[in-house]
Amino acid sequence: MSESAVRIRDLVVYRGGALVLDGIDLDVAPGTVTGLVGPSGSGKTTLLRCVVGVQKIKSGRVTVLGRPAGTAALRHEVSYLTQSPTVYGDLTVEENVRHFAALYRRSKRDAAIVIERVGLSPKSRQLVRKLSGGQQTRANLACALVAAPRMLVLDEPTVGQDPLLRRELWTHFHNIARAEGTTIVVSSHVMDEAARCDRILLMRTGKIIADDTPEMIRKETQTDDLDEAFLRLIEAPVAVPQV
Amino acid sequence: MFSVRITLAITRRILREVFRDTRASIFLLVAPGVLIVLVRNLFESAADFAPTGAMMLGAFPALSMYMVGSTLVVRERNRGTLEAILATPASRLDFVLAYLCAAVAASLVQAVSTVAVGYTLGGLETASPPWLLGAMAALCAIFGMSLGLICSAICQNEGQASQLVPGIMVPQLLICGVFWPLPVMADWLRAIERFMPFSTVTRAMTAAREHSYGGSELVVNSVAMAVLTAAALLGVAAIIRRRTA
Amino acid sequence: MISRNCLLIANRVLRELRRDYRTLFLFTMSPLFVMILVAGMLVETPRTFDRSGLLVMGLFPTAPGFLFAAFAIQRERYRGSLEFLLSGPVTRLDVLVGYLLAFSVPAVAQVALTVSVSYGLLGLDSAGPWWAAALLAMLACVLGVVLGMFAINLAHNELQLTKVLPTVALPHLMVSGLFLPYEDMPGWMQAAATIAPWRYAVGAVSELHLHSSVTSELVLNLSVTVGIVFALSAVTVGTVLRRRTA
Repeated sequence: MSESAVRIRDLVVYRGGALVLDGIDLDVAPGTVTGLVGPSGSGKTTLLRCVVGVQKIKSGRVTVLGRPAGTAALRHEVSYLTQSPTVYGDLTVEENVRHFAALYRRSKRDAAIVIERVGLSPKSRQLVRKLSGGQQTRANLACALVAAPRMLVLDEPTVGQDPLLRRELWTHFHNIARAEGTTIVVSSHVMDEAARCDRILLMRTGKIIADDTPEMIRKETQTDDLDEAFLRLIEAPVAVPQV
Repeated sequence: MFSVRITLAITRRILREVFRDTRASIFLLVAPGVLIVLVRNLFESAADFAPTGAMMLGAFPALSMYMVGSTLVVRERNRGTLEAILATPASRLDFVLAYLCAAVAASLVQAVSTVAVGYTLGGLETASPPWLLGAMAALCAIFGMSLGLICSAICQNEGQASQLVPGIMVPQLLICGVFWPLPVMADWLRAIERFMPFSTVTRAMTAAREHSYGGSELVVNSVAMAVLTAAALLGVAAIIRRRTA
Repeated sequence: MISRNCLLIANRVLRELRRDYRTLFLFTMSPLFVMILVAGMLVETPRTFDRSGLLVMGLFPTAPGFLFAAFAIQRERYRGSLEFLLSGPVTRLDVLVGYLLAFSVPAVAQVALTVSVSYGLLGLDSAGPWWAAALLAMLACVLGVVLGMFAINLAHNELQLTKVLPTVALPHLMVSGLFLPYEDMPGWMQAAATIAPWRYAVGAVSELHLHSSVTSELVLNLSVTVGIVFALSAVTVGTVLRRRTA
């Protein structure tokens, strides 16, 4: 088995005194699109923050691209999209994306391409705080994409977007995973997006309750509908395959 | 540790954000002039105005930059942009240095406008050449911003940061001798004045006014300002942690 | 004027405030702190202290009130909770009065503390009674809060607010008669002073310093100040607390 892009062992995290991640073990293969799904409060955002290296952890090991998470060198290779927009409201879309491009040594042309990709070209000279919620998320996504990193960690990138745009974005995710070998970890509430992933990680109250391909999950829960599969797994968890 | 390219990118971003609103920025440029004219008229003659005027040249930039600085870090932290930027290749040192560079750029502009009005409309006359007062004004502004930044870093929200203005800035303004001469104040106040951060501003400016090129008083206070600025900025770097709970 | 909704809002703001120890501490203690400093500054000239000290005591509460209100409302506006509030059955007057009531609670503590220490320990003396000074200080605080809420009109976000504040507040301070009596100001400054809200508050406090009974000057200045509070409140309700925004 080739070196995992992300390797997590025995991860335990507390936030605000409460146990949020309860002994997580997982591997993410490079060049794949992995979906992290689960109800709110299951620990998805916390897990993603651990991978990016901005989360204080109680114990355990998180190794990303062969190095401990949060190492300085990794910050050039990993790009992170936060759940709520963290773009600069008083700057235009273009200024924001160019700024992040500069941080990651990308060019203005790269910035323009990415803005086009998320469908914000007509609004690129607009101040971000004047955009709608969905548009702000797209601007945020553009900032993460422009880095063209080896690994993309996206926390609910398609929330509030129309189905057409969602399909386009997911096609784009798969393209860059195949063409450039980018490893993508995406969290989502929306089950049919999970269906588009190479692998799904199902989380509930700080534990991984399933780690498999969509087909296998469907087979094991004996249903084609992933929403239903998820509910069945919550009621009677399937054993997590050992790595 | 830090990269010039990244620092400059962040500096550009900060300046854009702070000066995006041209109306408020013009306010900031015009205000020193208005204030100097107003205060000048509170005095009988230009000579009476001079001690206060010289101090104002340093005090106003310091105070207004403090106000700007006092919301900057809190704002970033509360909006999540601080966390987002620390996940990028930018280091904490980049971040802090960028704020310093932004402060320098903004200070120069304010210093020039303040000094220009002070010498023309204010009728200020000083032993040292105007450019020295201007440079000192810029230094005071940078100092003010750093103080604002560290206060901002320790506060949890903008409300707290702004409350520090009547809480710690106004008292310093009162004690430092801008409004009332130092020699007639109570002894315990004079003792505090010696150790107050803001005194470096007034003492330096007064020294520049009284002696040509200020002498040792100017040097000592300028160095003190620089040291305090560096300490404040390092404090900010230490406080903004990459990993949070 | 004070409805149930209004009290609910006041309660909520107060609860938030109670958890924010730092702001509460600074808000309550800063006027006292400043009074002690002023007493120390003017230790050699007790008569000046009586005048300037009274002015500071009576008027300084405007500053913490102003800053606090401005940033609190701005935060609500940014969070979207202001819009949320205004889309419900709450009236805009409820919101305004609710906020004022909420700020009044720590303001009372602030004024009580400052007045008792100033008259008691620091030896402040005035012709008018201390309780009148206390009332004026409360009025100053209310004026500050209303000014603060109004000031949001001048800025989109807190960054702009910090730029606008020193540029508007300081000149205002200069012409209000705090440093130089109104009579001694040049003509153009006197003209500018007519539109400065603080000038009237300063006028009212000065009267208190000089006269032990109610004078027509006092009544005039007081009325104008109270009038300004109402006028600004009305404008704030119409602008900052608009239900329909762009």
